[in-house]
Amino acid sequence: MMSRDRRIDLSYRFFTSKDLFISGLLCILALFLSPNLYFRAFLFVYFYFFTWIQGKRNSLVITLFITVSIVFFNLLIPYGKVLFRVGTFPVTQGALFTGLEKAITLEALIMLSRASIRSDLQLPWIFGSLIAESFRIFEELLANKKQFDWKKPIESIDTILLKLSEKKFLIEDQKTIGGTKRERAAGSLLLILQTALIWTIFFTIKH
Amino acid sequence: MDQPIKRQSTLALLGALCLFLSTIEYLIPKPLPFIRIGLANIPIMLAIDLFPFASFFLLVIIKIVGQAIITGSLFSYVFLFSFGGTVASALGMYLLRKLIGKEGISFVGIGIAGALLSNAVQILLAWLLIFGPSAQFIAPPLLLLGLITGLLLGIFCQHFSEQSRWYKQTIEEHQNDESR
Repeated sequence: MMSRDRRIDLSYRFFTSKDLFISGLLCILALFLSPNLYFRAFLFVYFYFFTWIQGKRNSLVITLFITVSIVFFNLLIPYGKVLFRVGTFPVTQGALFTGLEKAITLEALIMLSRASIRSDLQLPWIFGSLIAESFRIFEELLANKKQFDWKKPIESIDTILLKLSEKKFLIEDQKTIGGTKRERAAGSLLLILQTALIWTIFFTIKH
Repeated sequence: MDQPIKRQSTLALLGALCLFLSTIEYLIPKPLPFIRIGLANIPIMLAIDLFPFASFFLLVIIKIVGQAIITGSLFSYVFLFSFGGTVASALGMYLLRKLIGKEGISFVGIGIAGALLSNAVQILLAWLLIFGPSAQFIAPPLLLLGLITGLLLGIFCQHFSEQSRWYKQTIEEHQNDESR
């Protein structure tokens, strides 16, 4: 199996953050417009796999835990046909279906979002340059995270802030690890096909 | 021209600290994706006395969008929870501090108020989007958690504002800029 580092490298070579963002925006529209639960479940599975391809970490345990929590809380207010009882507590069809619907929608949105948003995404205007500067300082913070001492949080944060406020950060274009023109074109084509596939499924299923 | 540039770099610095604390918080496992301790609110609380409202609000937006980019939640309900909770708590904390004044309300007070406001908005969103009427069952533990975390963050900010050299230096710089 391909290593995570290799997958990250390929993802940066083939996909630009802008293309991923636009493709994600188009797919999210399909998700919101379709109330079909199977379609949403398909999007969840598809984007779970797509985030894996990009080398992003997903925890199946956390995903299952969130799903179970949402279904559990929805079951607490029973409505609809009683399917079975756990002790004296009735598990009802309406509450179970609503819980599953909400859990699948939330998980699909999280996966779609994770697949479409990358930290090198550049936003426009003054806000974009400010957030880019924040990300540059953030990288500096991450590189020097050993300076942060949990036993002396106030002192260590103070020292870090003093050091960073004295340091000059050059406004430069954000570093991007792009591939060749051909690789980027192939990546764009893949994202266009992905979006077309999702919208084709959207138009062929019953809503 | 010097004044806005200085403010912008302090804004970017505090924005970066928000992102750093968000990353630390992201690593802590949680039963529901929108439950947060609120570590990233520390720079927001500290910024209340440093910036005018427009710059303060810009920092709030940097925190929300930056967090969403790091965690990849920009397109999900989680973003809506983060947006609703952060904006409500930031506005509430800013208004309380400006209306009552530093002498009338400490960071502990605004920390608790901010956490409760944030949780109240998130419970409302959870009721509307995820849990329906069952949200009533998560409300008491969430509000209790908010009370505890708000208290702890408030105590931290109070101590930080009293002991930090960077904070004193920045407040003095901004006051000098404003008096010019």
